[in-house]
Amino acid sequence: VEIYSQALLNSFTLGAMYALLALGLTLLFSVMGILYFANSAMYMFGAYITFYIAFKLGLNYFLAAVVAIVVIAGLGYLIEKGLFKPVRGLILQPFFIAEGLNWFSESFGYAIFGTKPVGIPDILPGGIQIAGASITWLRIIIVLAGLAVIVGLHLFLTRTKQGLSMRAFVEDPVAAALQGMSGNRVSSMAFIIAGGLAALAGLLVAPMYTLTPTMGEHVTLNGLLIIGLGGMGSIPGALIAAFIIGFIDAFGAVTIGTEFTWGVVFLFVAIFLTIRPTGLMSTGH
Amino acid sequence: MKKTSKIVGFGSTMLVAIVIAAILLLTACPSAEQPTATAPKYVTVVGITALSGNAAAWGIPMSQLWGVVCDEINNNGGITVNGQQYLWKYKEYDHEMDPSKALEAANRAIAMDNAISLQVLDNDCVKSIQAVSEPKKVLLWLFGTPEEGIINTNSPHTFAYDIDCAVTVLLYPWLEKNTDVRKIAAFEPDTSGGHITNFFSEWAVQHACTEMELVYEGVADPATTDFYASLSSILAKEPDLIDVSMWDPGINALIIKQSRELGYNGGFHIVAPDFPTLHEVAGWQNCENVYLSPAIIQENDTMLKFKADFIAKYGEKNWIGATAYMNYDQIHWVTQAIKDTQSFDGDVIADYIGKMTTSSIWGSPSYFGGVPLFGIARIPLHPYYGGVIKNGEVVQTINGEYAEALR
Repeated sequence: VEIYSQALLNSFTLGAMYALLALGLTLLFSVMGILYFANSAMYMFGAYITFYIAFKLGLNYFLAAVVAIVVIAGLGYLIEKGLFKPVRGLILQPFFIAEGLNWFSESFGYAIFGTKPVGIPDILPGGIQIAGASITWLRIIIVLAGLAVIVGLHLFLTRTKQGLSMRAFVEDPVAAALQGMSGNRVSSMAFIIAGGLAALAGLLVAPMYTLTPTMGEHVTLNGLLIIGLGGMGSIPGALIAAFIIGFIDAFGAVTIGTEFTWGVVFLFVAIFLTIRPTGLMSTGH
Repeated sequence: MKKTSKIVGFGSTMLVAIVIAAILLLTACPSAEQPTATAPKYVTVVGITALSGNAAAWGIPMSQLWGVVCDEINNNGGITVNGQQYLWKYKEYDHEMDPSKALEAANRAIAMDNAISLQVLDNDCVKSIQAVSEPKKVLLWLFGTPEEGIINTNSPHTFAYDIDCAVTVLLYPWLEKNTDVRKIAAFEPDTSGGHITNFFSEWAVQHACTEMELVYEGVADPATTDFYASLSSILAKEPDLIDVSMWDPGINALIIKQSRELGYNGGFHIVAPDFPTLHEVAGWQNCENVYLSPAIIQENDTMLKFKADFIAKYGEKNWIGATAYMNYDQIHWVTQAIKDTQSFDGDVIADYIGKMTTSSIWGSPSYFGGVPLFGIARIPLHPYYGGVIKNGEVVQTINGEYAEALR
């Protein structure tokens, strides 16, 4: 019983983490139609910046987190203006730019941060036992933070003027422009939010693991699975998809073995999308 | 006559002067046998490793270490063959862990750089390179896990760099004799090296032990960072020791940390321990009962000099701890073989290395084994040192023993 209760707890933390990591990618894909591979790099830089400010300069971890989110959001803005705006509306060029940016960032990361993995001191030590299963306080915070961010983003997109304008732009760019909404502004906002979300995910998840220049490598692939399963561009769909994948991941490991689990995850998503091509909760795009 | 005599007399003086001048000139010139007479020539050793991508964390420092080894040999005079001084020229290529790129790099290294020895990270990359290195008789050093598909009698120019995962043939019998450890879980990355490491755990339990039991044998994606799911399965088997020797140092440390979070108090076995990473990532308090291969309690003078040379060139942040020493010997052994045989012929050098008794950064003597498993002596055997962390201190366990089972 203990092994399954542990797997259940594991599935919650994995689900929350996957959702957190996929949000920025989902947003940019739904608003701009871009598979933004550089999201992995933003995740990595967000974590490193927080680490250096908090543990090298001695600033409070949460203040450091705010600085990192602002810096990476700003970087997202600059990237959009400098690299993606000139190729907006094109199909292949944004894809290649995003992938190139990701490769460059990894190599840049090695040059700046070195090759050794960096550990972050335990910012929230200890944990609790639930039905014989263990969970650390840090993981509980991640689950709660992940849910809060997802709900916050959903409310932003559905209840605020800026969020509604973004959605309107997604629905019909021409009609939105005729209503006075600026495509430039929507695009910049999407990159700023995606950057901030990636940095937030990085700085929340990094204390559990290590900092390495390639720490974001799987983020994009997992994000794509979640976007596909959840339904292109659907935030609630992404949330549900993240928890389904987290559930398969956790229970697969204790039943069929870790080495086969991700094969099952990919197969499951492929079969599901064959039966229901629009995913769990498609926005119809 | 008088005139003639005078001419003859003058001629004799001139002749003597010319002879003396010639003798002085000849003695002032160094002999053609002396190496300093001519400019040194260069022989090339090529490192083909991951300089970008996920494995660059290993590949970049490895390549830097190989370069430092070449510098050291060159600063000590290089190699003299038939009176001609040769210096090593080190060149690196990025294979991105892609076997096809590794092959392309090897082709360039052999055809354009005239490389006589290749140092290559990763089993799959080595396998692809063998297709060109073996026919061309170029030495090939595998920085991976020795397996039959690579080390065999049909590939006499290919050598393993160290005993690596086969250290279980030393560790498990030691554990059986000196501790209560009886149940082993082998958990490695899902790579060919990881699977072979698991094979060595199984082999050691079956062939070198009598009371040991392998209660778990599994692998996980090498890019995994969250091991809660895998560890839940492993811990359900109640192992006394989890062998995670093939994971890189950062991941080893993560596995240790996360298993302690899940309440596991047993032991671990890790290869190539990196103490700063264990401190930083695992937390030193979590490292009790972690068995270390190798464990260097007191580095010797050769190690200290190598470390100092590396840090002087690349800084402390790229120093990878004990793993670094595993990169020291290979170019030295090739150098010795060339010097001793006075030959650059790949057949001659490979045959000589396989039979020679030499020294190692780990101590002396050093020689090659592997015949029981691979039919050919291509795995370096040297004094081996293991340790365990007890009460926060590294305590020596295996002390200068040889993996004779591989001989």
